[in-house]
Amino acid sequence: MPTKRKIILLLSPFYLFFTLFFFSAVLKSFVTSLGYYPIVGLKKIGLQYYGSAFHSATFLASCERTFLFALFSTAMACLVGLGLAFLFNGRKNNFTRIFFKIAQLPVMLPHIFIVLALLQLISQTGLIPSLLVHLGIMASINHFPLLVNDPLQIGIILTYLWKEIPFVIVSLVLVLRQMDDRYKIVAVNLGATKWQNFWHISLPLIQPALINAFIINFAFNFGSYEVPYLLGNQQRELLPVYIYDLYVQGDLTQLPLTMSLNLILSLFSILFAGLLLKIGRFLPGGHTGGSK
Amino acid sequence: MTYYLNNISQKKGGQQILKKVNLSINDNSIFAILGPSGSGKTSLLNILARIDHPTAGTFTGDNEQKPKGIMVFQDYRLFPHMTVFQNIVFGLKIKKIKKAEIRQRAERIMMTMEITELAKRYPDELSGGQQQRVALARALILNPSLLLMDEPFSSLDEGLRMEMLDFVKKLQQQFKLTVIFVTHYKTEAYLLSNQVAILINGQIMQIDTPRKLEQTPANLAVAKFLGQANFIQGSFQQQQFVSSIYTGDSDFRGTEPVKEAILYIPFVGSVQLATTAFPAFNGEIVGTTWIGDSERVTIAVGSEIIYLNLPVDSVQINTKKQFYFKRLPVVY
Repeated sequence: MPTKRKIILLLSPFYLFFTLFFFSAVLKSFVTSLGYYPIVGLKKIGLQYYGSAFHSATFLASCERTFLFALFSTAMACLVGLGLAFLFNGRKNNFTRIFFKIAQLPVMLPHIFIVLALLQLISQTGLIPSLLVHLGIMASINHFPLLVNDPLQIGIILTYLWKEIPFVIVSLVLVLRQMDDRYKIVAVNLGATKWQNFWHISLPLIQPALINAFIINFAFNFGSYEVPYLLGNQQRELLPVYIYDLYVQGDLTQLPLTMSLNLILSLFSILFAGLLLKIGRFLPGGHTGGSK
Repeated sequence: MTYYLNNISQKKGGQQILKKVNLSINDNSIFAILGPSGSGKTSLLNILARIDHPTAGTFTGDNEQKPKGIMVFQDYRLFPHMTVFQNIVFGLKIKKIKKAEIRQRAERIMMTMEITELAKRYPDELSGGQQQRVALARALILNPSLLLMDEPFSSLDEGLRMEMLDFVKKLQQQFKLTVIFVTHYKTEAYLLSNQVAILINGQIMQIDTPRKLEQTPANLAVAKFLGQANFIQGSFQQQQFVSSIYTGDSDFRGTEPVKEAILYIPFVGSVQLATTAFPAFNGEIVGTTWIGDSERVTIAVGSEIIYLNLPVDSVQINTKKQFYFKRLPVVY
């Protein structure tokens, strides 16, 4: 067994890297967010930028919109992914096997690929509207609903679902495969119906994996920049786009505000993940120690 | 209610797991099914628990067309995400029994099983014995008339095993249960039940009392499975068994006279030093091993080695002794 000293030595490159790059960046952002940015003569340290962030109606509206949007997209991905994971696991035949393999593909593809593919497909000048017009189903491409850069952010939601449903499926199927049917058999013997078996046994047993998948997807959806930038609606900007726009405006005196917004975004994401983990502990399945 | 297993067969993946199993199991009794690993014991229990279906045959009862046994599994299978209390009341909860009644019944059964103080613990916080009591409570709270137990004591250490054997006996009498349990440990089967069925290769080979099973196994397969016996190669000619250690009359259990036969001499209860009408063999004592209430004695008879369990200090090493069969020896 490796000694404590050996473990510390083995882990030291990682810690060094993490401390240097991550913590120094966080520290620099934090110091700047407090108003200390001497390069442009800002030296007064305080919470004024955080105060102004929380008094900004635009920021608060964007924050609420981003949160609800991320929550909705994540919940949809988890819900659909959960259903499909049970389907793939419950019906093991050639069709579901092939479909499961195909479903894993989007996990490996970058978001930008999916964004461009969606633009090619569902924008009003895309393949699907043209095809519908060509087939005479639609009179003009203008009749095709706006799905990209639309006020309901459907384009962004579709991108996230395309990528995240397979992620949820893969995460849950792996857990379901390990879980086997032993507990289900016990429940059936004790008189449980299929639904009761799902609700009282299977769902709680995969709950920790589902919560983890939810947190990962939520964190991405809440903080993602490139997808909302390319497919989002400019009148209903999401928080990461709002922050980045502020950053690239070039006004260095605004940098402390940008950094405070950035840290609020990150802190909220971490706190929300912590809250979800805490809730997960109290939900059925929160204690699964001893699961064989 | 008497339960009947009528010609139950099961085939899976081209393999015959159970072959026309016929049993009748009396009400308010403990019935043991004893067999080696892979003999089809668990498959049979799964059918009685309605977890699985037979490919042929039926399982019926006197008062019930489709009786269903509640099973206590070998590995207990307590739901890991539920506390002891939640595990116990699971069967009642899904039947939508009123909360007050659930609590009352749970408290009563936990008291009977002596696990009241464990109510809030999770399965991974329990010992093997405690897990088994919880699994039993989870089954018994449903007031089953038929309780099925799959290798119930195999995961327990020796001391706890004996304690749980007595406890199950007590429970059976208290709840007036019909218990069917399967095991591959013959001691467990003998201690719990007066009626033991031997299941080998999916077939019931013999149903008898423990004493009869040991003294006269129905066939060589049963004898070999029960073990703890000497199997002496010989032949059966002119109504006599002929071998290097014994030649004479025998209780021949073969289906027809065969040249190759096997003399069955169990370690316990078949051979003694006191004279009987059935002289067995003359042998030299070459070793003794103390095994508690008796001694395992090693006897050299010509080139054969025979093992017998005899009373402690009844023979001395390096002495020659004449041994006698208690009754006519069984030959297969």
